[in-house]
Amino acid sequence: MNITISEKNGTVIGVLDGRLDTAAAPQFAKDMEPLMAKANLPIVLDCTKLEYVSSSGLRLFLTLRKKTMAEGGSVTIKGVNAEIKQVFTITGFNSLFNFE
Amino acid sequence: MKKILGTKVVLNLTLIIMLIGGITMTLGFGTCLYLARQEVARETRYKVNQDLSYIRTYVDGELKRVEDVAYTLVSTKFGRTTRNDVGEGFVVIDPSTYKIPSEEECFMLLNQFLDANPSICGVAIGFENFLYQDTADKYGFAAYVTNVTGKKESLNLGNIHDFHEKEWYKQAAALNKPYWSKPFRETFAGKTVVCFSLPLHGLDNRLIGVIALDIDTEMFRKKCAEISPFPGAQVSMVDRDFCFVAHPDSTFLLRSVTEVGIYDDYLNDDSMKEKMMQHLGGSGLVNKGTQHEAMFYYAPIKRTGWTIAIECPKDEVFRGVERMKRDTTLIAIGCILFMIVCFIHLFRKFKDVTASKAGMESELKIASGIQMGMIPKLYPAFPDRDEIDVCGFLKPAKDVGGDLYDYFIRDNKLFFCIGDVSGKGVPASLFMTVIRSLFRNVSLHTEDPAEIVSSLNKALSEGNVNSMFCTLFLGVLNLENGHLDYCNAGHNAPIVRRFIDGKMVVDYVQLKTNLAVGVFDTFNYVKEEVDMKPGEALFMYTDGVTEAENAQKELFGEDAVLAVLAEARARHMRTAKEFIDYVYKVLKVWAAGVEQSDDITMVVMEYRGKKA
Repeated sequence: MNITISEKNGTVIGVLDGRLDTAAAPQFAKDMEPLMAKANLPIVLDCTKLEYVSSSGLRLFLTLRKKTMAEGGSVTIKGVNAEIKQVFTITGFNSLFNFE
Repeated sequence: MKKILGTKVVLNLTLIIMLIGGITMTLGFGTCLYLARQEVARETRYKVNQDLSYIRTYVDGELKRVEDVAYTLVSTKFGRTTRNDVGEGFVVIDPSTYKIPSEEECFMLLNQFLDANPSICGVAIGFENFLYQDTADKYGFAAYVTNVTGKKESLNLGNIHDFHEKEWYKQAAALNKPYWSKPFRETFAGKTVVCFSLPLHGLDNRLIGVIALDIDTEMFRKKCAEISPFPGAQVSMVDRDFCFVAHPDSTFLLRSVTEVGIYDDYLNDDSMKEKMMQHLGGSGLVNKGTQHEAMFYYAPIKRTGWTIAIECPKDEVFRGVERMKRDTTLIAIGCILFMIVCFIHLFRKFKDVTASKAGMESELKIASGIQMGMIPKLYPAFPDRDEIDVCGFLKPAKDVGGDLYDYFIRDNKLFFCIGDVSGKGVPASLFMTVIRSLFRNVSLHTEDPAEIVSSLNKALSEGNVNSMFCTLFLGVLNLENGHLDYCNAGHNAPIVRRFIDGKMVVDYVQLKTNLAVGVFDTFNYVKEEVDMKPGEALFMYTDGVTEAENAQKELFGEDAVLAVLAEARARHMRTAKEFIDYVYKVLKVWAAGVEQSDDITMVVMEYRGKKA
């Protein structure tokens, strides 16, 4: 599980790659700290290469979303595959994020 | 587990390193000691041989000086001398040149000689009887002058005994060459002396007489006593018959080694004795008594057939090495003790880690027991209720898990729920127990599932800094009429089995998702409702079922769940428990030994209707 973070024109872009399962979650929590620091900006998560998200992973998406809500930013999820989209849908989390 | 394996490896490594270190240290110390002993032995040999050589040169020099003055005396006063290169010589007296002196002249000559040579303690000249036929002496004429504590005494030995039969005269005459006597006690002067005799010949080679010089052996004893290459080393000298000529203990003088009895073992060593008798040098070990071994170095004085020996007690020679051995042994023991202490410390630490792990495991087991005790496991769940058949199943992936289900009957209504907390393990299990307690409490006050879920959500959202959440499906079934109120909070849609026109239909329940609980406290949950007919059933599950993985990392899938349920019915599975057992069996076959990665939870609820 990898995340590459960059900033362009006031938008923070995080590119996610791999499986975000329970085992990978603690490391991902650390890796996404720079994103948490930019919670006042619009954040775009490029999930084209994201293969799987477990409930632990979903929790981290939620953590980020809560921070952006508090600080006035937003989270847009881009290119997410059908399985992951379904996880968002089942849990109702799809209503919290923008999807592209 | 990894950490403990690591500790084990570290322990083993430490043990191996300690062993290798110990062996290396022992070998190193051993080699050092061996080399040190060798070096000390070499050094000792060198030093002792130097001392031996020094004494030998001194003794031989003194002996040669005696021979020299003897030859000088006769050549100046009596006649021509001839000596070969090994020191043997003879004297020829030519009566045409040298006159045989009178008795008075003899005494005068010897007195003068003694004055000129203080190192000589006595001098004698004896003649064959034919030369002094006219004398009145009993046994012939032999002038003898000796120094007795600074005062000279002169006497004719012919008046006392037949000197011709005495060793100094007889041996020189018989051998017809210069002769060194055995050391003996000279009674006039009270000294231990050794005598050099030189035969005198006429032109016709006929023996005329013998001239003899005595020297005191005290100077040899003194010289030997001076030399001490080591503390406790003894320098001694024996004559050709192994009688002491010099020894630190002066009472040993003239006594044989056998008589003194201190070198019994040395005397048993034939090769050493043999070499001494052949006037060869060498070295060897001797045992003085049983305890003390001594190094024995010896060298010959060929002129007299004597042997000089230096005896070095081994204890003394190797005292330094022994001290080193003792010190290094002490240091080594210290090192080993230190290492043992370190190892024990490490070992205890390792045991502590193991113990704490064991403690944690046992605590987890207890926690697991508590958690499992919270969910209803009895089947039939409600033996006195014919209108409902309900069965639950929960198999955590670890000791404790984040899945939950619960059901109970209040006021003729069945309250039930199934849920899945985000994450796994202890944190999820804590959250799960909170939810289960809240469900039971809130359900006492309301029959509206949306209200129950909202209350749960509100309670869970507050102070939820870790963004934990839980998907939940919660329902309230009126057992009187089969009316079901339910509320979904982001949980997987349950599967419903219905009969439409006598035909079985198995499909997912179409429902509103809402949102998992614990996310936003103000979220507005919406209640839904449906009327269940007798024979209809709900299959509720968590994603541990649909996402069960096989060895190829393939997920079991939602369609497969539908198929299994249909199949179960076709196989005449009738009760809720039979359904669950069958699904679990299929899941196990699917996983084929792959470790369960997520909690598996299932609840089957069949409404059978109120019997008339």
